[in-house]
Amino acid sequence: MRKQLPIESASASSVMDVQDFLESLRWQELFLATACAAGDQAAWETFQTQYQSAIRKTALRALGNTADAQELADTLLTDLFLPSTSGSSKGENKIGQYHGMGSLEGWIKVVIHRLAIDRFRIQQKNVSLEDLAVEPASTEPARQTIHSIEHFEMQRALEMVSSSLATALAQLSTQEKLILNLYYLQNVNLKDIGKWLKVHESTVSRLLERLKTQLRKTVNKRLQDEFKIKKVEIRHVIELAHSHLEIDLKSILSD
Amino acid sequence: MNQNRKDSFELLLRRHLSSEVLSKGTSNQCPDENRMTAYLEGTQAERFNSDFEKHLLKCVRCQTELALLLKSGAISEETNPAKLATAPEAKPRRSLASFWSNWLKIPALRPAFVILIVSLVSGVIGYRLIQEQQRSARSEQVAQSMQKDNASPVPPGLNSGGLQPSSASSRREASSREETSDLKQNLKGPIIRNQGTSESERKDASARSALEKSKAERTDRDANEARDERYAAEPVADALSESEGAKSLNQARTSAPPQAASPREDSETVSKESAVSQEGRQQQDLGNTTARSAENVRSTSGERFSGKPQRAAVPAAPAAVALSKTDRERTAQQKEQTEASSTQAKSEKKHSLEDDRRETSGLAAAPLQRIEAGGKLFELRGDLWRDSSIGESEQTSPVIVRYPSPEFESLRKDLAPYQPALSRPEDVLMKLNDRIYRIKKIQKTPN
Repeated sequence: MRKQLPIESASASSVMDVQDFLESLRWQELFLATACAAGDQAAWETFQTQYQSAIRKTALRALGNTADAQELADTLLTDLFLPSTSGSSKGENKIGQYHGMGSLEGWIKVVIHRLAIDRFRIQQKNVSLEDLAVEPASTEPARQTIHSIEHFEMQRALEMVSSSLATALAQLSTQEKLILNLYYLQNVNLKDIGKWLKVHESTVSRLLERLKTQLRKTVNKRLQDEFKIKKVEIRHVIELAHSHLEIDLKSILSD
Repeated sequence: MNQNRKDSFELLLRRHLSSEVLSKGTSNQCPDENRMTAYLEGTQAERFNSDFEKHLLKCVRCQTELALLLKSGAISEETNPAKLATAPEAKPRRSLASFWSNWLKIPALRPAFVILIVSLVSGVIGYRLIQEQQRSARSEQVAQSMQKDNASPVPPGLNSGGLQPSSASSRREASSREETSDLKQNLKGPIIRNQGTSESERKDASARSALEKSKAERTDRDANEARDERYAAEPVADALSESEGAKSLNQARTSAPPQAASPREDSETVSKESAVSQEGRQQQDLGNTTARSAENVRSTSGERFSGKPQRAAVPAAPAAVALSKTDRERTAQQKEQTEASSTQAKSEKKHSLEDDRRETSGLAAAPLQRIEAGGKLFELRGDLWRDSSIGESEQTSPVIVRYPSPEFESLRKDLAPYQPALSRPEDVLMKLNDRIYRIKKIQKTPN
């Protein structure tokens, strides 16, 4: 049991922190997982009855395909209880890696999603390799237009805007940056972000709008102060940077 | 143009974020599933969450994982996910006071507000006044009825037989009222008559009366039971006839000369009284409990109508109390008997359950013997789960497949339906596609 507890995370902090940490643990579920890891049959039966349907549902949500989800769920249900042969947890089964820091169901969901991501990556890797074999990259230089004075200006504009954006983003909190990442990079919609933050999606929308305005203001200010760009030219600089991105994208696509 | 500019800014931002994240790549020390769960459920301290968010910003893999978890709705409603640290600039909430003040600022609406307030106040006051009037009217009615009751101790309709209560309960009440008032008069009699007798005579008489009482009680109880049954069958007619019979009996008794009675006569009268009281009790038994009947004796006796204090009803009580006592004793005995029998039955049941448990304890403690999965039945034999569809002669040369191994992975899809048996630590011997496999698990190393 002691081995399973991530004591190192709390060792540096005060006794109160350790006490809080211990109080936050899901002891009942931890006992069940530990008993399952030890091969207790009653625990195994309890686990099967309580979590089998949740595992199947989560697998279906993660993959979307019934057959794949079924296979993933069955794989997990087998692998959870059998000892692993590699890694740091050699000889220890997966269920024994549950520490009780969150709910057992939540932990299973995360495990399933990790499995799904790994599978997806393997599939992607296979596909991209095939694609590479069939269509080799074009070696023809298509950047003649890029090496011009205009391109230089565009490049310069992009650098200036990027630098200003980096400064502006540095002023945001970690959570705010994470929200921007999830929305713009991971394409998580407002509703899901709202669910995560326990706020309404309109609140998230307002928050994103505010962050964008703040970023734009900071970028404008930095372009004026740092790069001595006039207020009327700022729009032009941003458009130049944007057009450079488009050219960049076109060149990537032509490759 | 502005929209274009907005879009271009968003695109630049998107590009910058992606380049920032991709330049950082993936971390070698990604937090395990426990930490991700704890972060998603918000079970840990704020410091833990901020550390985790810092990692999320650096690691594309964890960010993708979080995004997938969010998209698939892995966060349940019960959990307490990350709280929004910085609230967006919300619109200032208008309070109720400001709302009203804004409305009041409009001069055209001011008279309407005044009318509204006046009508509200007058409505409230009027409602209260009406309520008070109703209350006072009710109290007057009650007072009048009380006065009427005081003026006529016994309702004339009851004596004359002219009044016929519609409900059985009211009839019962009326009859019991009559009985108790008669009873009271009868019980008063001997006390007055006994004033002239000596102490010894009085003792003898009381002893005799006690004996007779006990005898009468026994016979009465039986009669009561029979009468109850009869009453259940014909409640209204019986109640009326009984009350009339009792009334006539009482009238005959009360009409007898109250004085110049010998001790024997006294004792006779006492016994009669007890009989009468029992007769009265029978009527009161309609209320099913002796305590209630005693209460009836007190409450429905003439004092209530004559305006005398209730203490005057006390002489009627001893007989009822004595009866109720014996009844209570008997019921207590019966209760004890039933309790004893129930406890005996319970203990017997407990013993039998314990015996059963002892018998089945071996089974309960024994490990699971069978697993049904994928339409197959697996039986545990030693350290092996054996497919019951395999015949005894068939298990000679199974194909050995180790877990985990490439062979196992190639069979995984076919083996998927049998995961309940495969997830057990023991080996599995099973028939698959007309071949017999022995799935061998690697030995778990002790921690």
